Amino acid sequence: MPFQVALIAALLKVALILGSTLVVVPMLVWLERKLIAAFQARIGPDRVGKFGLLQSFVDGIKLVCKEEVVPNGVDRLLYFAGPVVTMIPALTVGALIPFGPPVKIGGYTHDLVMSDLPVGALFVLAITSLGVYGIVLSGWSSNNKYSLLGGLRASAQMVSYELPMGLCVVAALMIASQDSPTGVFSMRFSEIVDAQSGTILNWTAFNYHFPLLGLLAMVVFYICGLAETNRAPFDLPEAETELIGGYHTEYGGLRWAMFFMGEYAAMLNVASVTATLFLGGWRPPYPSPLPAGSVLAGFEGAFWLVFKIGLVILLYMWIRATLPRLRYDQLMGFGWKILIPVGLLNIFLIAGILTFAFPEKAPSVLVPAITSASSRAPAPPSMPGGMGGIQQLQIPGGTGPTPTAPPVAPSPAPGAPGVGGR
Amino acid sequence: MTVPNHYYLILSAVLFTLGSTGVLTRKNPIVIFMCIELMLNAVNLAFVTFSRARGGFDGQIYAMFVMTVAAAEVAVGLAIIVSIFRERRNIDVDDVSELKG
Amino acid sequence: MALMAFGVLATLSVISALGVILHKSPVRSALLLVTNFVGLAGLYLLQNAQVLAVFQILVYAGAIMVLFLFVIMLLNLAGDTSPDPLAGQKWVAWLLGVALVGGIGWGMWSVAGLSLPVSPQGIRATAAEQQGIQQVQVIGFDLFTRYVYPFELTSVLLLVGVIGVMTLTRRIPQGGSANDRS
Repeated sequence: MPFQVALIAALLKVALILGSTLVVVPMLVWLERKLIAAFQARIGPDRVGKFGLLQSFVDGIKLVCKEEVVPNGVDRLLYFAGPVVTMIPALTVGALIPFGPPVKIGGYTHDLVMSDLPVGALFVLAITSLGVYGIVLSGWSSNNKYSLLGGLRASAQMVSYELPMGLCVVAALMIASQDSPTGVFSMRFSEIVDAQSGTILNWTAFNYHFPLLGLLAMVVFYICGLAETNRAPFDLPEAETELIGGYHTEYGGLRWAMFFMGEYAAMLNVASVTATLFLGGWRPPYPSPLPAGSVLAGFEGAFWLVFKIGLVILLYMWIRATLPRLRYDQLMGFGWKILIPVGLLNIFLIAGILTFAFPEKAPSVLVPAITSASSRAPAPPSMPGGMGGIQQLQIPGGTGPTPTAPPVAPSPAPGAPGVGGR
Repeated sequence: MTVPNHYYLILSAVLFTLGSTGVLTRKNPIVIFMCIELMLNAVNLAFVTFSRARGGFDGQIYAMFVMTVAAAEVAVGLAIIVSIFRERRNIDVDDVSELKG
Repeated sequence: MALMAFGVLATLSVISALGVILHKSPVRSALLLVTNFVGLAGLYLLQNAQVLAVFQILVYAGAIMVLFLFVIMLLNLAGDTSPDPLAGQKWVAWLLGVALVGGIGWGMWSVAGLSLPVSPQGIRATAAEQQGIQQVQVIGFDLFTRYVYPFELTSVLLLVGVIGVMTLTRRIPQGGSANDRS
């Protein structure tokens, strides 16, 4: 693919992901207001546009036009940095989510994902964990005890709920490793989605090899997602009845809008990661009849991803309308005493199934592929032994192999893994 | 063009020295802790550099162990700081020079 | 290109490290340390250590520094305020620092031209890479085979740490407390 085509494709993808995030977020706000209103037998916003659809955009304009009030005694730099730091991680995760199968346009195959990192699943966890800084900074810099309490609560809550979240990601990766075409554990999102191809029974959450375990992992992940995004019933950092507004008490206008946007974008991110890890990503729940690589298949994938994200987000709003807020000790106790043990037990059970039901995919079988790699290293056939390969691998500018290196070089035979370097 | 290994190593030396100077000059135990983290990270950088220079990932695995140990150390250290603070409302290291409770 | 990236990241990390040790406010120090860690993660990426770079963000920036900030906010700490009893100590410390960086730097510079032999693990890893096995998988494999004892020891250490922290910070209810001498 020539550079110009790749550049244009990348720019289009950036515009698509960023643009859809920025447009979808106000729509989500509207949807939530309408839904909560329906749950509470009210009408909700209905003045601006059809069904009040434009309400959020108008609200946005109002917030931008508001006077910026900066309270006395704030730490100005951190006060201004807080909302920005909240937005950045929230807008980053979208780049990692594959939203359709590879599509052929104009003779070139494009992957419908912005950047498919080999450590994608881990990277999402890392980026999500950075989201807390915005809250902590704004809470600290506002010079307000309610804000400070909100920041304190947020930091402890987020660090605690990251652990079960990570455990559930591990569970999802283990289930996906069983079904993956390469047979090995991968953290690349595209490979995780590929492992869930087929029918709905191949999705991680409903995988028929792991009845209920995948679903359990998804539920725990979902609960942690609620806590990570400060959604009810875990919205203690901004509990308006106790802390006024928590960390954003002292913010107004555009900066407050950025917090609001960041929160909804984070919700969108957690939902899309849930959909990708557990609900098959863009994979439709039936074997797709469309030819691979066609543009129509791309649209089909995007449709299903959006559909699944929508379902997850609806559940978010339903929970908010249903459950009361937890007390802080209940929140911590729930995370540490229930979610973490459940997550660990889940991994344990999945590992048991992997070991006993799929002995042909156990690590001890796959491992020789790594241990014996050096004996299969490409060496020029004319050279005896492995010496040629070793000399080629020398760092440029090296002074030749030391006497100790070559004798140790060949690894043990396959079947005796792990003796390598000890 | 790649960056020569000794650039990384010298950067690691500079960061390590900055960390150790911070430990010597600061009095706030939390900042001292942060400087220790800085030193550990400088060492990690050296580990990663050697790991790249020699191929393989052993240096990276060592760095992961360093991170884990650092996490445990920070948790215990901060707990000690919190309990000292509870007792005397002040945590200057100069004032906490005796082991009596 | 790589050299330029190195220059930017190295400058970032040195300046933020200087800020950590010079800034009065502990919160600012902590945030500068986060900046430094992000810069180091960039340097790891530059050395093709993606897993470690992500770990750096996840563990250091995402967990350890949040803990630091939590404690600073909880105790509501101000900067160093009381006068230093040994003001001259600082200059000695800086002199020692300069001497240290001079010593280590000289050592590094003197071996700059030499190149290290590739380790057997390096040969294996390169071969695995040529077969399309990802870095993550090789690291995971090594971690659970050759490094399994250190790995398990680390988990024991973490457990000890958790129990130790709980013992240290537990408030003993109602009188008879060792921490409670009014």
